[in-house]
Amino acid sequence: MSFTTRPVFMGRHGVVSAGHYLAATAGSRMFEKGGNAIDAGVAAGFALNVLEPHANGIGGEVPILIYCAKQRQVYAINGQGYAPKAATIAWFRSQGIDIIPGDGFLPATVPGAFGSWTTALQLFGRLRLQDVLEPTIEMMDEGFPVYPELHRSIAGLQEKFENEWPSSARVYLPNGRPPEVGEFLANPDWAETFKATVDVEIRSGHLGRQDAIAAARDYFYKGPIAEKIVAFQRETKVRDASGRANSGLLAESDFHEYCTKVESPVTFNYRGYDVHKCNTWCQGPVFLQQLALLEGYDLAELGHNSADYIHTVVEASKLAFADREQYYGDPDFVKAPLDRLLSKEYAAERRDLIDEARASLELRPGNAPASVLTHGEADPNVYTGDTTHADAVDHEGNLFAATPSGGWIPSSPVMEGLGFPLGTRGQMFYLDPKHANALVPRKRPRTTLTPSLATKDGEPFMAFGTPGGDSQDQWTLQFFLNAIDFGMNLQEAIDAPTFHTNHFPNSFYPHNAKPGSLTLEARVPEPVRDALSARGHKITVGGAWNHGKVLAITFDVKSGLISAGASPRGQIAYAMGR
Amino acid sequence: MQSPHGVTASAYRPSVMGRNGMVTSGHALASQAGIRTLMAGGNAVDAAIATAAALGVVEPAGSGVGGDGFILIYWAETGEVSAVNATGPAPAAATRERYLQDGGIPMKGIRSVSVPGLVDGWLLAHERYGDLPLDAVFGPAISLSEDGFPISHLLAGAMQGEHELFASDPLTRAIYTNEGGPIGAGGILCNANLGGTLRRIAQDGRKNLYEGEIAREIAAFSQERGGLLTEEDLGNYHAHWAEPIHVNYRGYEVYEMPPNSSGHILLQELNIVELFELQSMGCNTAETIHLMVEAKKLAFADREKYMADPEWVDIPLAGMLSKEYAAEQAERIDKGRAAYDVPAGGPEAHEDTTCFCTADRAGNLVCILQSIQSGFGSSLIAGETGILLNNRMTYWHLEEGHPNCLMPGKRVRHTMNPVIVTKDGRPFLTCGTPGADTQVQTNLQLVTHMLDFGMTPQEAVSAPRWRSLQNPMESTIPHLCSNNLQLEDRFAADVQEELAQRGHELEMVGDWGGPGSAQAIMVDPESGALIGGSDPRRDGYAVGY
Repeated sequence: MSFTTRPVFMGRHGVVSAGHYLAATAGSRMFEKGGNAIDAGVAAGFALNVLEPHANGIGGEVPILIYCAKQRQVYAINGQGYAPKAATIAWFRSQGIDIIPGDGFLPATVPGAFGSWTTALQLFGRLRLQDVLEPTIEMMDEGFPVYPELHRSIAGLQEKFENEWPSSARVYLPNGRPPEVGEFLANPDWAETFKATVDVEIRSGHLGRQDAIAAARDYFYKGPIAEKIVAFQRETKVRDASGRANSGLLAESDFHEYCTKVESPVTFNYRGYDVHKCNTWCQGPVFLQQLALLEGYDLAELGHNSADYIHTVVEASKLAFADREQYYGDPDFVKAPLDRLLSKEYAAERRDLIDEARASLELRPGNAPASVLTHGEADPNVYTGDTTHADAVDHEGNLFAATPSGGWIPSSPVMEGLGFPLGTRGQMFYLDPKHANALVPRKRPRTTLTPSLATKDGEPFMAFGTPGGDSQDQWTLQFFLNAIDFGMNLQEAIDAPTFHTNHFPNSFYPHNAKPGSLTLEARVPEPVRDALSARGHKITVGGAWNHGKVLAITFDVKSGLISAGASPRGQIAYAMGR
Repeated sequence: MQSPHGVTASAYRPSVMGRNGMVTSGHALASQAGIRTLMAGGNAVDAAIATAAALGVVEPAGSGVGGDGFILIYWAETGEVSAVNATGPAPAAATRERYLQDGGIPMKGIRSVSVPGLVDGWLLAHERYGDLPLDAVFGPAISLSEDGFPISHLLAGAMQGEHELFASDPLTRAIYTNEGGPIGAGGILCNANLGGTLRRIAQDGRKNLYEGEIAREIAAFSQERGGLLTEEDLGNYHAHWAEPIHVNYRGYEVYEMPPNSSGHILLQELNIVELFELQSMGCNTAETIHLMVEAKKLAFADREKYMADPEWVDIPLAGMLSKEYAAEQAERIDKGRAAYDVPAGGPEAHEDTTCFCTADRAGNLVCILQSIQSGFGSSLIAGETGILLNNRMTYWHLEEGHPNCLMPGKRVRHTMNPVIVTKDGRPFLTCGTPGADTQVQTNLQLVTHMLDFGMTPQEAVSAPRWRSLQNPMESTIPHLCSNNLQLEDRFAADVQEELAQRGHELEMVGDWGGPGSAQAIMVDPESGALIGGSDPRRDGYAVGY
């Protein structure tokens, strides 16, 4: 075994792997209260909302995948909110807007996170909202220690908060300055928001656990929280990337009619493992399309992170992501030909497009003419988002994978009296009405958030995921191949150097593409980089440990062993449990 | 404290911070046992004992009920630092003559076993400071031994190395092998007998282990196997409170374990390096490393000459720890040239021990070093007790005139040394590491990294590490070694070159091949946040909340 940055975390009772070490501890506390993996995952998720406010929040969204051991069934919780009724292409055009901005109120969808967490808890958990929110409320009441990344993030926002967003300054510049590393940061308004939902749950206790949680959710979407959100974004104007100050488009009816959907996942069998992803309202199936293409190669034979291997994987990614661009959108509005896209025949045809010797610079979706790539440059002043992730697994074999994101503090002001900002996921829509991902009122933007689950012969096997926008399903793919095709242990598979391409249009504003681009972590050796460059890849060498923050947990049905890994990148993610 | 380095990517792990409690230990499940104890209302001492007992289960190669230890406690309410010496003596029948007759002290087996002192130390600390009942504190360790725990990759490797020995004895075969075959990483290790032993200790305290049922079982096993350990040895043994030794280092009060621990070496090293401008010399430069290595050699020479069980020998401790003496000693250091005394030669024993730290919201700090000497100790399990017995006898000298010459009832010279640092009477830092004679060297690097160079605990434990060997001063028999300076490959190339130019015999040990498995907890002087760090070289894990 090679050196790993930390041991594979092994337990038998329950383990959480989360984007922040205190979230992992918060989740593992639920096991001590008799909770299962879903309780632990939801507790970790709520904690991540407050611990990583630059990366996610309760005003954002969270897709969740759950393997329910009792039913031996995988469920996808559609935690992506939809566009307001008032958000039409015509309206944006009338405002002279060609690309939905990435900041301010205009890209806000109905915040899906609270509905998603509480739906998971209600249907698959065992504890009360009060239990799973306890560690988070403690941290918001008393404060949690500020860590280097959060300090840097807030320091970078200081000017904006002071000059434009006083409500954000009040929370995140508590003494008129960014809190230092090791100082405690509290958020009393957010604590009160959560406490109010817990109060409703307690008052509704006579209805039983599930209905009491539902009552708390109604308090968010059909009660005072929705009212406050709508009022704040209606009465406040925020300058955004369009150059003008805009108020928001959300109405109370958008909240009242919002419902968190529980769906079946999309599944593909790769070398005996059933890999499950959320539907085309996110990029999830692109992971499966990549697997379908790569199934035709003996990857181990190519050699781990050899030029041949990296070339093959990246070229497969380009083909799969071209299809994402062409076909994926909210299935309530768009029917993506998933059966065909995931078929063996289709994969075989597409595989023929891969030139072993040459990097493709085209966007080549299936059965459709190649479209020309735009070469738009990203606006360096626009925050292109961050995300986080949490997995949990318990001894019964329940698996939980969630990828919370959006509602982050750099892109939208903290809402007065609530303590958190709205999300900006609407920026992922296109204003081209013919596009699968075109804006339509009450439609979900095709989000990048994409948790993963794998089962084997119907038995639970693995929960995993990462932050990273369009790179998520490239980094998790490499991790998965490291484990399955190269037999690495979980931490080795996570530690191994990563690569990714931004070849296709970015999901974030302003949707720029970098055809042929290939970013390699610096630990990929120079001869490999040179060989890839010679095939026409446009190489960027990143930091040694900069790309991909994969978290993963496996369950061994035979022995009951739960193993977890967490990425050292960013130095904040952690596994905890016992 | 703000790190001037930021959090370096090469630290690999988060600087784990919490407000309510922190445990950093050699194993995640042991850290979790400590955190659960804190969450259940225990204090740092309760958490330390819970972690200690759990480590004895999940890190059987490193420490356990059959071994020894030292405990250092900072108690916030009184501002006092107190110390427990939990090291057992040589058995009454363990005379020098007897061992000479038998051809010396064996590395393994029943004659390598001395009186296991650890548990009485746990109980002493718990009795004075603990808030939770013993059965609650031992609870996680009991379920880990009875229900089993997953074998880490590190432990699987260590068990592989010991496999033949384990398979050859029915008692170890039943626990450390899969019906004679090896158990790999991810396999489950159960030791229900050890769980039962912990239950009996939780119920009866020291009585059962030292004067009752368990003592009889251990003594019977020893006798059956031809060992020297008797019921009387166990009954006569008592852990005791000791007065910690301390020096002031640049305004920080650094506390250590007194002899028979080697803790004085760290204080002597610090006294010497304090005379130099470390900050301007730079972190991990050849100049700084050279100074520290030379200071280490001087302190080790003193240990060799003076230090053993203070109940048996007079140690000029006040002089050794004085600033005047340090100034004299510093004069002896040649800035341009490495000093040598004795030529190289002889094998080295692989030492295995564990260190862990706990802290609670009140600012109490605990650091414990515990060990069964080398990996898996004597590699013998005492009958049905599930207890793996130590091989601490292998630390004795048999040469007459050596201060650490074996005498029945005498405590052997130990390398284990927990560290606590206060500033203006307030808790600031606790740290330590396993690694025999490397401990006081690693601790010197840790303390200067954090105090002089402002590193976070995680940065300090992850930083490249050196180790100086000094023949014939190794603690483990035959006490011989090379005179090399071991360096991890991550030290800059020019640093390696300059050290070689000064005459150091360099031995490169790989990126992470340096000694130890360091643990540390710092208390943020402004906010009181607890900041943990845990060594990536082994299975260490920091947990806070």
